[in-house]
This record gives sequence, structure tokens and C-alpha cells, in this order.
Amino acid sequence: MNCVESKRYLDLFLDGELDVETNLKVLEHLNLCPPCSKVFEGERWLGGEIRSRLSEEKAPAELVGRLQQAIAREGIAASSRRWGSVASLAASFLVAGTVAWAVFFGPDPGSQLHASPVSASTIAEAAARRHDSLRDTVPAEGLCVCPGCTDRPKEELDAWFSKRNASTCHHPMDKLGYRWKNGSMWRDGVRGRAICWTTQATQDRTLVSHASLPATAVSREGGEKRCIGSSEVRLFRVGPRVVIVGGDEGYT
Amino acid sequence: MALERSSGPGRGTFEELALPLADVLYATAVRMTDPASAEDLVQETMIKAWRNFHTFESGTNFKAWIFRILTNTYISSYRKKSRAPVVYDFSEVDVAQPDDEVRYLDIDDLDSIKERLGDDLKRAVDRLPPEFRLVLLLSTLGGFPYREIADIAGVPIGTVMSRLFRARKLLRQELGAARPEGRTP
Repeated sequence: MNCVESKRYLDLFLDGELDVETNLKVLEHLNLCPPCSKVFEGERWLGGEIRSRLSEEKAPAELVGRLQQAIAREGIAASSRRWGSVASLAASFLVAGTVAWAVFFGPDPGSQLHASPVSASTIAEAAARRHDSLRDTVPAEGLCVCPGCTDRPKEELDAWFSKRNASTCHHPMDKLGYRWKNGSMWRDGVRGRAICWTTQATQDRTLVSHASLPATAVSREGGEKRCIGSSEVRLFRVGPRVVIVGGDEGYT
Repeated sequence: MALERSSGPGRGTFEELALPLADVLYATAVRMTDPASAEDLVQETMIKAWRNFHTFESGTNFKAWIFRILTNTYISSYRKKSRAPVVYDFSEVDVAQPDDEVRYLDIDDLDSIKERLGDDLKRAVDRLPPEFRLVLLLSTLGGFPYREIADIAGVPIGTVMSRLFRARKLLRQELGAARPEGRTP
């Protein structure tokens, strides 16, 4: 290989795009030819200089903040509006940003039973209001039940909540694959009834709330009917929030 | 009732992949258009990427994927606001042409060159025709191999090579021409 040839391969060589054989031939020539070696060195230096100069332009700090906000504001991606399967349902309400999900267990022996059902839409409104008041943050006051903080989350939640409310409830969060973050229990009121409210961040750091209401019945009216597996839930849109209200009383 | 964890992509995954690329996307955008438009371009790119994240194949090259979105967005919306006006057309250059007539930088001179280069480098890059400039940026800032630049820019690999080499040749001429008279190469 002569000097003219080697310089022809300069760009390809510096870009690492040469095949092994040609690459070796270029290297051999550079070894034997100081002038070409200088040229290659200079060009390599220039390439690096261009890269570092142009890389000096960093994205303005506010831009990154705006990007995060813009991403958070974006609605559910069209393809994740698949409500037929459990997994997609989870994706959609995670992607929606802050979502409140109300879960209702059966009657709690320790609680005061109420005769009249609570309407799902009332619960949805309360859930959305709760998140508004939280301003999409996890409440500072609360009990962290992440695996790093306790290996007896159920017991600790029991103890914590029982000081605040006679009735306690548990959410099988581990099955949902959530990463715990400041799980907190709140006593709140929906028409005078206590709500157990847990707020946490999901694995992809979306804020999700779960509320449990000891109740004999939840009226399955209002909202949009959806299915999670074999269960039927109701979906409400309250402002920018998506609230899913369901129960485990054997909906058909 | 228990819900299974979503197997679909989530916002956190997207942010982990995308936000660290904000700097390099911006550094590229700001050489293609003015700073304010560059911010808009990056933002628009991020939103589009997020909206289409469900189409991204996990395990494939996310950086190349988002740069393709940046490039397409630039071409469709921002090209008219290009940093430097296109003053001439160019034709594909035969890669095999020898470059004996081009003066290369003298590495013995590096310190004084470096001192003198200052903003000359950025200006020289900005003066490249946009098609050349884009390919150079994808190579230099993006670090993409030719094959990926071809995918991102939507041109054949031969075009990538000829534009890239011509861009560098032009840069050498610009920077070489900026040298004071009487300097021995």
C-alpha cells in the first residue's frame, strides 16, 4: 500500500469501517510512513476536537424538565388501550400518569357495616380529589413498607393503620409487581366511611393509589365497563385522571 | 383482585432510555437549526418517541431509533429553519478520489491550532450544506456506523460515505484556509 492509497482509506480507517485485512494493510503502512502517520494522527485529533466542541452544547436544564412534564402529560398511547387483558389494563393505567384505583374488599368483620351501597362514581370522585390534594406526590407522612424497610409489611400496615382506624385492609401489592415507595395508609372519608388509602410508585415510577373501602356493596353504575380477567370493573375519567373501581364480590 | 404486572413498556423505562440522550440530541439539533427551534425539535422528538414507544422493539438500538425520529422531524418541520442557508447544490463525490491537494492539519502545530480554532470549528460545521452536516453529526456526535447513519437518514450507505467524506474535506479546507499566511504545513 502506498501513501495515496492509504490516505484514500483515511476516513474509513478512522471510522472503524475497514475490513480486517485492509485495516492491517493501512496500519502496516502507517508504521512505515511517518508523514502518513502524522496525517492520520492530525485527522484523528481533529475528529475528536470536533466531537468535544460540538458536545459542549448541552440541553438546557429547563428543557429536560419540560421533556419530563411533556411525557407525563401525554395521554395513553393508542395501542395500550387494549382492555381485554389484565396486562394491557395495567399498562394503560400506568401510562396514564397518576391513576387512582379503588379496590373494594368484602365486608371487614372489624368494621362498621353500612347498609346502603356506595356509588362507584362517588368513589371515583373522591379518589381523584385525593390525588389532586396530593398533587401527584407521595404523602410525606406515612409508613414505608418497601422490602428494604420491613419484611413484615402486612403486620406493620395493620399496626399502623389500626391506630388510626378500627378497620384494616391489605393490598396484595407484591403480586402486582410494584416497587414500594412510601406506602402510606390514610383515613379518609367517603360519605363518612373510612378509606384505607395506599399510595405508591410502580416499577416505572408512575404514582398509583389504591383505596379500600369496607363496604357491603358498591353500586356498579356509571363509568365505562371494563373487564380485568373475569372481573368487571368500572372506569371513570375525572379530569386528567383515570380511576378504576372494582371489587371482589364476584362480579359476573 | 390482583392485576398482573404490565408486560408493556412504561414511562419509567422510556425515560431511562431517552432522557440521557437529551444532550446529544440537543447538540445535534442545535447545529441544524437555531437554539430555540432546536429545543422545540428535541421536545417534539421526545413526544413522538414516547407516543410510538410501543412500536420500539426492546433490545434493538434505541439511540438509532430516536435519532431517526429526530431526523424525520427535522426534515418534515425544521428544514426551512436551517442554521445556514443552502447556497449550492452538490454532487456525489467518488470516494476513491485521492486527496493529495488537500492540506491536512499538522499535528506538530496542535497547540496553536487548538487555541486558534475556537468557534471556527462550529462555524465551519454550520457552513456545511445541511445534508452533509447531518451525516457528519450522526457520525461525530451520534457515533453511529455508516450502516446506521444510512437507516437514520434514509439514504443508501454509499451516499452516507460520500457525504461524510466530502463534509470532512470541506472542513479541512475551511480550517486550513483559516490559517495565517506563511505558515509551513
